[in-house]
Amino acid sequence: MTQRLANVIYSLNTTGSGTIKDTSFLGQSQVVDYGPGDFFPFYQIAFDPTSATGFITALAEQLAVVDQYDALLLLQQLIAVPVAAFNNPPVRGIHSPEDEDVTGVYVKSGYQVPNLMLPD
Amino acid sequence: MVIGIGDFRGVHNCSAEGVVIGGRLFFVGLHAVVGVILLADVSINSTWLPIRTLSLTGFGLGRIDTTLASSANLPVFWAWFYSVLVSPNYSLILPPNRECSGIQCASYYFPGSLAKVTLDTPVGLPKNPAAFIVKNSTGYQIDFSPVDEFSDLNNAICEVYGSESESKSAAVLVCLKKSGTDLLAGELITTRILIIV
Repeated sequence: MTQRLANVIYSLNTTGSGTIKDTSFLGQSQVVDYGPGDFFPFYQIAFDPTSATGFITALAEQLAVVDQYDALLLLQQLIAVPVAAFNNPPVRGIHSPEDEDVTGVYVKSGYQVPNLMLPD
Repeated sequence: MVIGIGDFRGVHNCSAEGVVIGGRLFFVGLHAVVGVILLADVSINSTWLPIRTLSLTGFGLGRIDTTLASSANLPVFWAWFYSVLVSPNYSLILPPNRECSGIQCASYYFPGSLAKVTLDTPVGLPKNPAAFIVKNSTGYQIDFSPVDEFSDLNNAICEVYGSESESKSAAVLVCLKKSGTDLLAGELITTRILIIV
């Protein structure tokens, strides 16, 4: 699992607003040190035996009929949720200390023909 | 004699006209060749033209905050569970950081959702901007790859979760193990469904 800076392009088309189209820049990957203790607190909530009965049985029934590849996908989802959803920027709306210069730019699409007469 | 002059002039005129036509064809051909040579190295790149820049707060992702678990909403967790990898609003498939091949290999980048940003349309902004680019945003990339041996999960920390009722019981075993900078994971889910006739 790695952390990396990026310039991310989100679509603003009415049919797919918010869709991540691509990245125009990807920084170097920096390994993030996560362990079991970072994930289990969320699973204890997600699999709470009193309130999550429906979710647990639905997941079990789903796994009973899918192949190994789909089962692996479910495990990947289980790992991804705490990473993507439960951290400060999306939940509390505050930056990580290293994210002070984040900017957003409205853009329109265009085309560019590089000038062959200019050196790279 | 007159006929001879005429023949001479006629031959002379045809030759001159042929040279002119040949020259024209040569230059037309030369233009085409030069055009092909020049255009062969021309590429047209799609690009984004900036319209308006905003300063953003609270964008991107941070480290997992386990203190948020106590206030985590159960339906919210499961909503994320079924959408986080398949929704293009939350994840982007990237080439993996490490070599891996096969259908069990996958790499996802999570840059944060645009839904968390209030995009007030600034005054003077042209209608229908095509896209919104977030610059210098911190995201997280997860590379999934199969474990070499199932025994690699020996000594993993495992938790069992389950639900039980008269008609239907299910148990979920989740195992996690830190191995170097990797996190190894495994799951085993069993179900017992009693059909009452």
